[in-house]
Amino acid sequence: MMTRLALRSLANRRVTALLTLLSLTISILLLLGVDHLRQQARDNFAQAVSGTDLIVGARTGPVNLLLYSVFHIGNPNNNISWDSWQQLENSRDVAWAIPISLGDSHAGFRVIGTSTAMFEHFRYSRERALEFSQGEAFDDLYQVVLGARVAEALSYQPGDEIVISHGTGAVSFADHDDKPFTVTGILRPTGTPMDKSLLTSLESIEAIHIGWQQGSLVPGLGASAEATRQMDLQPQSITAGFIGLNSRMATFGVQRMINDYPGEALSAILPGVALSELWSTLGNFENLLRILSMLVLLAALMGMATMLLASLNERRRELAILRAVGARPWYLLLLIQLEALMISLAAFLLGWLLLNASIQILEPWLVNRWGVFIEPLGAQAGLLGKLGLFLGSALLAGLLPALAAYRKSLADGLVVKT
Amino acid sequence: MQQKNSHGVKISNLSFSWPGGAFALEIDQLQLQPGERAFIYGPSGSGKTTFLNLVSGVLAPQRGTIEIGGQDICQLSGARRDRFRAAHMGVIFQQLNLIPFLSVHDNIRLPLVFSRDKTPGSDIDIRIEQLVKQLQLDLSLLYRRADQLSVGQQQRVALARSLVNRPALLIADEPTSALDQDSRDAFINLMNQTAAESNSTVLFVSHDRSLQSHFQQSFDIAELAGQGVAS
Repeated sequence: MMTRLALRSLANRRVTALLTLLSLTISILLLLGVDHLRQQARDNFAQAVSGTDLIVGARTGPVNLLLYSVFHIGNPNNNISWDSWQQLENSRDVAWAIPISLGDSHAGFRVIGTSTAMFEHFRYSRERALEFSQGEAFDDLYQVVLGARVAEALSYQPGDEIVISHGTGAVSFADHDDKPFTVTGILRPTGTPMDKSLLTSLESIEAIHIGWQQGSLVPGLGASAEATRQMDLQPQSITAGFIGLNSRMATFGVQRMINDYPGEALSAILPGVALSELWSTLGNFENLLRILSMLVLLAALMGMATMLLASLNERRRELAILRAVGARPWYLLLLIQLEALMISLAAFLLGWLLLNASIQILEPWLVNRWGVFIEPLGAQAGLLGKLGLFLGSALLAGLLPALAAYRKSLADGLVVKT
Repeated sequence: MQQKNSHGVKISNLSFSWPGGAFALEIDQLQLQPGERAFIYGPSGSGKTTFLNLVSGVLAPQRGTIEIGGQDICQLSGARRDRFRAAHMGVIFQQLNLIPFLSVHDNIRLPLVFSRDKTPGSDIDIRIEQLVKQLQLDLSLLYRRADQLSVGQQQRVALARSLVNRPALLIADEPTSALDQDSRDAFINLMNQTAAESNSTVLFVSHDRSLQSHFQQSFDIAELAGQGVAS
């Protein structure tokens, strides 16, 4: 009967009850959403690179180098000369080295110039190598391997021809349309920025830039795709490189050697160290978001308490009737708390559903625009704890109107004086 | 059932005062036989509210006894008094007796919920239907929302609710004040008839002395209350 009373009573005040439900739902959506995004972003970042001992680039901050080399966020301010890279690659401690050259794109997806060492040595998540779902690696000029998301978004198959654009904007006005590329393979999904990248050889990148200066093809300097094959396509420089060492012990020595490299100003970073530096930078921002979403929740809970408290005046008769038919004052206190509990539980479920729905809807956009992979919230482990914490705070907020009902019913007795 | 109604109502040496001494009520003696119907004259400010709260067990007196159906409710804890009220008393007010958003059926059933009556649902339904017919209400009203009924219908539903537990004591607080003269007499007759069937003692409190003729005994609350002074 108490459940029926609470439900009918809420239904009887459905406009205010629904508004309260809505504000609680939004605050839950925000709270769960912020927390989930934070967790997902961390997982995403932590998975993107693994097994790489050092990342090398032009002299810059560690976070910046990590962001542009691994996550393709932002742009490098300088390159590494090919000579320095060669010297590094051939040094005694280095087991493998993967060069990357950024700067071109296709339909808004980044094109990475690299070597086949990428397929051999690059690792992500927990020591996982890149695998092909279709086709194979490039082994000639004008060949390209697609990340899973690129192939899916643009419906490409091995054998398709594509044109690479100069620059990294989503819309490009300078296309390398004189030298189309052939798709040779498509990678399996990795859940890392690799999925929205196109991989080709450094030589191919060099080839399509023959005769280009300052971002456009200088008339008369270009060469046909076939003529280019005869030219020297050794790159002048690369953007950055991933390095694996023979021994972990050597890491700091090699890092120091690179940082002190006399030929040019270089930086070498440890991916894990740079990541934790990134977290500590983002930590304040995350905390701010969390505090804000908690304040929103607090406001919504206070709104609920206000709603319940305001309803008590019109419900004094109701409470007196319940007392007259034998309800204990405690019953009235619990009745109000049950209403608070019902609204909060509904708000939590609704907020959870809405969050999952919006993740489903926004996911393609998030991946394509930001390269962030957000998994559905699902029934993750911490969720029950959060639900408990939320319901607890709802009961705490409900205590105020519930106690008021208790006190009012004791003071009024059977006869309500208005 | 007969057992619990063997005493009617007996109040003796009752003394109650609000904290701070704002108002006090004292009753030396008030005794009613089972099934007896009493009119209590209680104009506003006479201590009527306090009297009703005491008799129904919502308030506890500092001293004295209130026996209802042989049970001194002053000996009971607050929670037990509430349950006793649910099981053995019926209460009906001036107006707005019903919970507006519940059905008529749910409203009538309420005292049985709070007395944790173990009677099977089908028997309760039969009892409710009998009461509703007796009170000249249409059975089709049972599953309507209470606030869709007219005031006269609502008061009869409230009467059904106050009698559904076959109470030892029916407390009526001006239940006819919202009705016109004809309905008033009809309502009181109906109330007295139905209460007689469950042998319930009736305490009818009103400021309208013209209703006094319907009752076997009448008291003035001011006289009962002795030196009680209204705040």
